[in-house]
Amino acid sequence: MPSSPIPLTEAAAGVSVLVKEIEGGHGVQDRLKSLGIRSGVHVVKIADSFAHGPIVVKHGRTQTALGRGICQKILVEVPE
Amino acid sequence: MKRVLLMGNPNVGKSVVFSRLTGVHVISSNYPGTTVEFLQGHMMLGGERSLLIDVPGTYGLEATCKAEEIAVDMLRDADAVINVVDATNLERSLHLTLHLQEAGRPMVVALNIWDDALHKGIRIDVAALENELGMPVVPTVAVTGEGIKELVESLATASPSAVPSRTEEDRWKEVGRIVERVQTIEHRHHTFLEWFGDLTVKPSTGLPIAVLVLITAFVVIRVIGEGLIGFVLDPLFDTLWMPVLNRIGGLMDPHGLLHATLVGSLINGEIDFKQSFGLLSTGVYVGFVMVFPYVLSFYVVLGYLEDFGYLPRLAVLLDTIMHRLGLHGWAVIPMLLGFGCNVPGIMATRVLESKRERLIASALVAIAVPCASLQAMMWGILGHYGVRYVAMVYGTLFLVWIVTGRILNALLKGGSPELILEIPAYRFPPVRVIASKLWLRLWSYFREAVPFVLLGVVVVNVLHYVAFFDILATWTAPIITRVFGLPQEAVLALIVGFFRKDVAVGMLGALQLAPKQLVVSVTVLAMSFPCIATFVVLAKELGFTGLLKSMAIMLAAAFVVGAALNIVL
Repeated sequence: MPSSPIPLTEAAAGVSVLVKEIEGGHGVQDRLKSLGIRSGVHVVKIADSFAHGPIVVKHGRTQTALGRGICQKILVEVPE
Repeated sequence: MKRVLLMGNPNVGKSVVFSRLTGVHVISSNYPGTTVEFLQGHMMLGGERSLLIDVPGTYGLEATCKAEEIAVDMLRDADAVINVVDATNLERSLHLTLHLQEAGRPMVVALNIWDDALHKGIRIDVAALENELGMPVVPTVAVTGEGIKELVESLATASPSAVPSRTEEDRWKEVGRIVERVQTIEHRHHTFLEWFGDLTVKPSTGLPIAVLVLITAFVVIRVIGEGLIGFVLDPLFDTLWMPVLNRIGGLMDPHGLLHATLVGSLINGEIDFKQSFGLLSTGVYVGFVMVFPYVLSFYVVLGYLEDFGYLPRLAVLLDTIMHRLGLHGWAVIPMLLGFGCNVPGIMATRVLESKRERLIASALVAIAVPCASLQAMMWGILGHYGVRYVAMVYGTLFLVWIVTGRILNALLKGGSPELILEIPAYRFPPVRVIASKLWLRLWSYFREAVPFVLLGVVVVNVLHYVAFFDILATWTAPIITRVFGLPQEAVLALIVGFFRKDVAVGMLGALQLAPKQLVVSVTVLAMSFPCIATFVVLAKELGFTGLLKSMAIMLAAAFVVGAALNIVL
């Protein structure tokens, strides 16, 4: 059984995780969605954030840099 | 006339396609948001002259930001749409394609960056995609021109699409289904560029690399600039231009207005390109020998970094620092562009989301980012006293940049939004693409900056001749001499700085100031009133109150820093 969703900030780098839910207002949700980050999509963190900096994630053929605060709102499921 | 829209996600090469279709050359780079205003040009479509509009990139049509709102509006009046799609990133691109399809206009898809897709092992069945979408799909490589002719031909015959509106959810499902059917990806090992891409964005390796890149960039700019001046342009001016100028000077009364304006004053009985201050001596020399080489070398280096795709990674690495100034990492773009010329720097603040950020970024560019012309003159005037004096100016400006940003961040209401930024893949840009962008930028330097340099020199000479500056100098003497510790004559340069800062620094050079006085005056000059072109663009971008605000910040900062430097040095 998959574990309960955790914020993307907590996920380990280099592991493919499944986006379950995006919290927060419509503004953020829409922008993420248009970039292709929405629930049901697999993303991989390329590196952990450094000094509260942004996190770069890879999804499909794209890489996107996301502020730490946004990553805390992205809940992901880590595969067993 | 028919209106054709060029639409697509940011950074898929719309501007390059635009250049190909219209013959109008525009600046493009390998990062999202290079096109911040609408560009229009004409193209021939089925033997008919049509208007082509390059719409800034959008990810969707939900009108979540200003660019998208405008795109939705423009779509209403469009007669046809060319949708540029990134073949290496079909899934994300297709979402917009499906949305555009619902608008029911004749439409074609340009499957751009096709060469890269093949290289990365991405195979797209073009015929199947045409079938799924019900519209022509043409693989293109805009940078080389491949497929552009076919694109125009197919648009002439495209018929309006008839697809009912879908929900967001359905659209994504449809995208998934189509991608599944038309695309196959051969599994490949990471290419060198992908590996290097990861390396430069991870903080542990990325930060040292960033420092290395910036130092290298700086050294290369200096070497190319110095080399051009010392080995090419200076000798050229001395051997070819000097005799001509001596001949011209010989024809005139050496004390008349004409001589003073065209040739300038003789230094020890001879023409001195740096100090004579005539239109044909110093005016031409500043524009072509002192400043042009640095403008050239700066844009060679910047152009390469832009097109390679490095800048978004730099933005990620500097995000934390920029947040301290009320900005996010992407604000490095206006800052870097500002080092070439403040005008495109301030225009690039449009990539930032809020009015607050745009004000902070514009003010920081105008106050603390010296443009290439100004820097060239700084080196020209201060460099031979020792690098440490030039370093003092740079150091002071850097401190001002940090402190002003922190103060503005604390004073202005609101917070800085978080970074959401697509990181493009690295691409080795073709030399031709880099060269044509460089040419555009140099051309705009010659067209827009050089005439102001020459005009500035003429105005200074005439005002000097009618003794206008003597009167002004007496008025402002208390501030200039007591607070800044400069001689009265320096006021002239500070005022001319409003025209062209490079001309003003040239005037300081003629004043025989001590190095420390030069440091104070160059710094004050760099920070105070922007040159006239920057002034106009500030007014345009920030509105009247925004302009007043940034002016007040600028003058206050220049005053405080000038006084402080005078005391400290």
